[in-house]
Amino acid sequence: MNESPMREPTFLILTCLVEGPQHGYAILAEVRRISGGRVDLRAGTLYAVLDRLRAEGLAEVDREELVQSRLRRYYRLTALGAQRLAQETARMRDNVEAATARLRRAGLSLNGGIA
Amino acid sequence: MTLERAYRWLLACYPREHRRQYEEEMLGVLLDDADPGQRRPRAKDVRALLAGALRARTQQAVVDLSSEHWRSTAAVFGLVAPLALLAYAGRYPLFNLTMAAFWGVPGFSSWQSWAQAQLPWETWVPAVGWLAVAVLAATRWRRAAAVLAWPAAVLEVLRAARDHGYYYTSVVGLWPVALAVLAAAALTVPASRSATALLGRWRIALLAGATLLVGSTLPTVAVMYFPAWQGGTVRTPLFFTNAVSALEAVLLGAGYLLGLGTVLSIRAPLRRRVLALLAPVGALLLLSRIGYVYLPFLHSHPFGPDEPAGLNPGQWLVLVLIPVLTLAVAVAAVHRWERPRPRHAPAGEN
Repeated sequence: MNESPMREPTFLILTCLVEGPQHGYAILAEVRRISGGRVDLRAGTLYAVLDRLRAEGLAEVDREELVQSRLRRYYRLTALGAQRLAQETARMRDNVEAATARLRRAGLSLNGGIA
Repeated sequence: MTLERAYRWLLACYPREHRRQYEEEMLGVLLDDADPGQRRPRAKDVRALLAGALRARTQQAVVDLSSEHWRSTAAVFGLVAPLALLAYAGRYPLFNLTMAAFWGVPGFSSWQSWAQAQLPWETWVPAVGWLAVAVLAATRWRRAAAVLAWPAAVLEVLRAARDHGYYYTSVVGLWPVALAVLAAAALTVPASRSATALLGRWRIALLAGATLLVGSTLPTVAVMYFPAWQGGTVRTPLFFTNAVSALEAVLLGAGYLLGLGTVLSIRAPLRRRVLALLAPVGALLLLSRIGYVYLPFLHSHPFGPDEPAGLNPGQWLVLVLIPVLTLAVAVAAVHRWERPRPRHAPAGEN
């Protein structure tokens, strides 16, 4: 199936869920850590993405718990979500390899300068 | 205001279903993510929450508007609106043709007089166009009706635009524009059932009867043949803006009531939606007939049918916003009305 490219927040949220179920705040913190602080995901964006991932069957609720009388919901990756993430990773890797090879052939370093 | 309350205000922008699912959870994340001692939401959070709420509401609206009820409503409206436009557009040319045939042109027979009544094309082309659209919409040729409805709607826009320099006619001529655009849009929506199947034959017959009463020259002919019955003249700010005889008023009123009664007899979900689609048209009609008396913003120019005083951009903006907002409010009201209500347990039952 020819899926459209995934947006970065979606890719990073799915990546966060690979190693196990995570709750909302943990996902925010993990996305910032993975991206080295470059992607500063906010709650409004996170829940828009999570709602869509659930609707598309890429993520689902693992469990709910009450922490200091507040609902905390854990999300996990579905098999379809894992497959979609793997496809996206492969697509990005192909692109990166193609770009890297051409940069090298042109005598340019990956840092943007001349090798 | 505490930080929690400020976030609750922002979360209130989301649709009810979204809030039911995520509000408490999102609030927890927002508070966990806040700095110690933070008292106001961060600008980034405000932006993300408002954008998320807008996105969720848009998605909700798309889901609601693509329901089967709205598709069926589009089919019904795609017939009702062209019939109303036919009644509106047909009166003037039919009246003139009838007068020519009745009074005659010296030296010509009735039929020759009829042929002599040279009407400008813009008076009869819209009537013929809406007649064709209505017939096609009623006979399951909806696509052809839609293809024809758009140029007919453009013609209504051009007719209104031609009068833009005249305050009175530019305002009065807006409601057919709104109705025409809505009719063309409704016919463009794919529907699983035809208007004929949804309305039933007797309602189609009643609507056709109402169109004939309002749009044809029957009332005028009746007055000419029964002059003794015509009574005094009637003129009201809302319906009979041009003075008509009492007999004409009764026959035209019967036509209006017949059309309205037929629409009101449609089953409730479709009736509500048809009325919601008619709401912006009604708002413009009210504005054109009595609005200028009460709305000061329309008073900046001298008023009169022949006063060449066009509306200013602000007035035009209001005239565009009024139907758009009326439609949005009417559609939201339909969805709110139909939302499942929570069932309350009887007192004492826990």
